[in-house]
Amino acid sequence: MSNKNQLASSSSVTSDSKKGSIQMQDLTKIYDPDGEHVKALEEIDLTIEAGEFVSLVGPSGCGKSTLLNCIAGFIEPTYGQLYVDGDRVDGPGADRGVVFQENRLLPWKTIRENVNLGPKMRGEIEEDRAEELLAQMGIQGTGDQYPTELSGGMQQRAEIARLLANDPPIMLMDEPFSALDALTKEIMQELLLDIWEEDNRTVVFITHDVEEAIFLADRVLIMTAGPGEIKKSIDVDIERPRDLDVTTTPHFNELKEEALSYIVEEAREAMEG
Amino acid sequence: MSTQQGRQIDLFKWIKPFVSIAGFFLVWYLLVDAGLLESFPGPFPVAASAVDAWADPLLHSSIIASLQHIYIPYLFAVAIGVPLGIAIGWNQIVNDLMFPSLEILRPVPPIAWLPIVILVFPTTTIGIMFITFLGAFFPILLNTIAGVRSIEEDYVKAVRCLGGDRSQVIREVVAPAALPAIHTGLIVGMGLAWINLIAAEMIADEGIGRYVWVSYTSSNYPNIVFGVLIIGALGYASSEIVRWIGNRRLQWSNK
Repeated sequence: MSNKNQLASSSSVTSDSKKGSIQMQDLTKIYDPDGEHVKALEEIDLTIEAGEFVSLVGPSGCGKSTLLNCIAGFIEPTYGQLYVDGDRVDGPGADRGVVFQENRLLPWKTIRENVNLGPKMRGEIEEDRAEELLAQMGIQGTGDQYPTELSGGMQQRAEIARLLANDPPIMLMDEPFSALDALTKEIMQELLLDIWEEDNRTVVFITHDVEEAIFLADRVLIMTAGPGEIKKSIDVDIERPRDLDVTTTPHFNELKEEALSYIVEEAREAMEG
Repeated sequence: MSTQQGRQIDLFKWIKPFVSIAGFFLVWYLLVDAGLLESFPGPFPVAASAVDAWADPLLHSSIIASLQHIYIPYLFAVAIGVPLGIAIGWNQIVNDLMFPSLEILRPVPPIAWLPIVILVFPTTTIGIMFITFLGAFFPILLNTIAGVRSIEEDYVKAVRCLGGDRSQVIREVVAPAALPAIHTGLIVGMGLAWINLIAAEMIADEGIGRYVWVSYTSSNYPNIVFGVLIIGALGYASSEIVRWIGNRRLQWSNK
């Protein structure tokens, strides 16, 4: 397992040495249940810059999660290359934190123990760091509680705090807010942008909500289904810092319509084909 | 809910086990009184002989011997069954190498072991402990395996992407996630250890099973019943201790 974390913590001095870039070449994943080839990903060529916020949207079953799981190191690609900062990805590592759709706080640990888990496993717990992160996420005082005692939104905040405690250069988020109610979701989106603007980690954010994708990202990638390919890349040239007011501007709507047109076209092709 | 009502419910909850046990004695008394159990002694003759037996040093040494026959092998069963169960449940290779041969041994009833342990072990005490060990070992092993296999993969992923290596995944995820199932195994194992104990103590020089056997051969029927009640009470208490310890450690799973 690579240990780029130590490098990451000393990397914010110059932008040249910034960690967290992801490169994919011909990345292909074929599932083979009962000898029936299913191409989940087909020859994906993609570079994500260090510090870039990228959203992946597409119909369900288009391979978004497969792509994210490959970057996380949970799934081995069938062929093709995948590099993080020039190093071949070989299994999961602390340099790539994952936020899951259903939050995966360990239910037998308190919130504080969950947040401290990454540092604890490296043998370097910092006093008060957990409290600081919980406060930053707006859930101070929950450290002694168990995950199931918190609401869904608070659990997701705690999970992000656990990830930040590890200080990974890359955050991989798989529909992290899709199970939350609309209001909580908007609050979490703004919170995520606040965090991201603070230390500019690379974020790969999966969603099926086009509006969410555009609001958050520098670049929206639209994926096609069966086999999973990247159909279109849309640059989001909306100034930062952003708040939810930008979602009502004409330019935002143009971007949204452009993105939707590709998705609708894709969905139609998928249905006819 | 008012506090008064809450207190009443607490009291009722507290009193129910006693109602259950009182009912047991009542049914026993009525069955004997109706002449349905032939010469089987009723609660009062048993209580009368229990007063004498209670002062008998033989009973005391029998109880102490049986507790040793239970708890020493039980601790071995936990110390071997839990780690082995985690290894078998987590690692397919360990599973394929170990599990089939363990499955051959598992269905062998405790009585069938008696001639073997008499031949193999230097003292009958060690032989008895081996049989109680088997009673506790298999439920603990099988429940641990089942607990490990039911772990949600995403918890493992979460710890892996926080930088956890294989041993940390086992310590932080596999063992605690399997703990509720392990706890069930510990309770069931304690019960089976007592069942095996009484079978095994037929060949023993001492122990509460031996005490019942001797009472039988000397036709002291009230003492048989008293001995059986003691076995039941000690077995029940032992399982409750395991349950209580487990529930304290498993507060998170009750929330």
